[in-house]
Amino acid sequence: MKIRSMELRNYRNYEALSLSLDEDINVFLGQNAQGKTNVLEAVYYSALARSHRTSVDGELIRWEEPKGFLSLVFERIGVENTLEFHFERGKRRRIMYNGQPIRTKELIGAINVVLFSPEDLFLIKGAPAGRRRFLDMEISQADPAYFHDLAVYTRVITQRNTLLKRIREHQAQRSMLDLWDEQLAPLAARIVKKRQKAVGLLNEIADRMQRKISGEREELSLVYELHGMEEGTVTEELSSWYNQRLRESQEKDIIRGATGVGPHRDDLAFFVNGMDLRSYGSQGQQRTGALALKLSELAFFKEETGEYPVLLLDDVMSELDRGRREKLLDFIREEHIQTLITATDEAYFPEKEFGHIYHVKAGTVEAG
Amino acid sequence: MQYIAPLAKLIEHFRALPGIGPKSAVRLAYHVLDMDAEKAKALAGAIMEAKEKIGFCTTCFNLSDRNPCEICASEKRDHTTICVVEQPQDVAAMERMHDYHGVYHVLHGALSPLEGIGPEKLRIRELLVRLQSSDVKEIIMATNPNVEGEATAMYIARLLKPMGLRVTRIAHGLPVGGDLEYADEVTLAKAMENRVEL
Repeated sequence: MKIRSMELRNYRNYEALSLSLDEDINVFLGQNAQGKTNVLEAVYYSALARSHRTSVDGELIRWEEPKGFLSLVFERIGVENTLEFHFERGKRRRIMYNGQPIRTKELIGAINVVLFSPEDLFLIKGAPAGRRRFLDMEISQADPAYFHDLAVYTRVITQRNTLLKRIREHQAQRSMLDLWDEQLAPLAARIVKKRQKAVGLLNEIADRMQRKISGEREELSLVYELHGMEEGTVTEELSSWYNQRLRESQEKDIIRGATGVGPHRDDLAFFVNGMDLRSYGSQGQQRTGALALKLSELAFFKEETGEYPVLLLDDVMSELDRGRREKLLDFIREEHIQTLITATDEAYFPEKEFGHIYHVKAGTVEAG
Repeated sequence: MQYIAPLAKLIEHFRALPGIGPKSAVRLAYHVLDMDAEKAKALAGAIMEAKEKIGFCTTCFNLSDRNPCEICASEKRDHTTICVVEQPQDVAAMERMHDYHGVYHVLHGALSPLEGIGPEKLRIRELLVRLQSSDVKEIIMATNPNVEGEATAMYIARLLKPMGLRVTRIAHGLPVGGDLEYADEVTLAKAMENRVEL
């Protein structure tokens, strides 16, 4: 899919902006705090109906203005569509798809984006929660039912954890745990199965990417780590396995006041040439791994939807060394992935023929 | 600007009501001031009357202006089937269907450790007492299809099954009169799960 053009009115620091985009690489150059990321954020918002920087829609409206507006014209399997967002302070935003009002639920999946920002470089080194979030976001974009299961699962976990604390304080009966455990087990099994399937698919692609970036020196494998299953595999049905684990861990769970088993404790492991990248990888290897993972995400979407998503590179060029930067740009060019890049320095880019440069200064964008 | 005391008080009372924000509260308060004295008195009277006359039916715990309530007292009703719901509003919804002829039991909530609601805060003991002194054959669990409603239904089912009662759960799935193509994935998945033999 490709974004043809975008229009911003009283959006963030833009009073009025009309932009047609190149279908390959678009680079937004400028000093800090000029509005580069705001352009990327607008695209991200159009895909997921929320910003990666704020959860408050009001912050998207330009300072002291009552209303804000964002629209995109994009092409998907050869058909052109228009998407509009109307923001008004104190009111719910409205979304129009080809002139028809739609609900958020109906928007998800219309535009697919993959965002790569400096935080992603810590994905491998960081806490397991970040890696779980990565998987969850990825699967949710392709499968709305997964998103729902996840929300219900979180609700049951919250109820169960509160109950555990009350049991510890002798304010509730232990037998009450069954009511939540029985809802938890099938949900946990459904979530884990979908995650395992996604990891299986990602694993294949990520290995290809890692080989490419490392010049065939490194092979990468991704493994979904099921908490409570240290070795071997689960032979029985996953749902009954969870039922049993939950029952076994009741005692410990009550003492801790938290649920010790379930997809909220699982992790995603990365192995390069058989070595655990999370604990033993060098910083460079971890960055290569993170980059391979991001590129796999692109390929994952292509397999799921038939088209590459739009790639947003927010300030990552300065975080990658020259070799990785070139591999990344090569891949984007070869595969014709529409990409929006923000950077402070032109020096990160090869001189000829890689797309459009825009100079961003205090809420204005000029084609360079 | 500060409102004069009696008006401020009225606004505060309106604000405390569910679904009323600060602006609506002000609008309602000014509207009341604009009313004829007669109408204002009638409104105040209606509030008091509802409060004084409506209480809980001591059998089913639905809201009623008599005890036992109309449904519990009716001989046309099937007293061997009890439909268990969370709120009095749910009884009203069921009654609009005109197709259920059994009686009800209102729990006044659902199990939720987060809100500190355990079985002792719901009218569950009253349901058990009620079952001992009647010849009920079926209990229909019509709590909401969310995690709290499911937990509540499961809890009651477990209490009642050993008593040899038939305990059923209302189905969830596609809305009647809806189009399959417009149903969301989650509802469709539920509908598939709960499909029935033709």
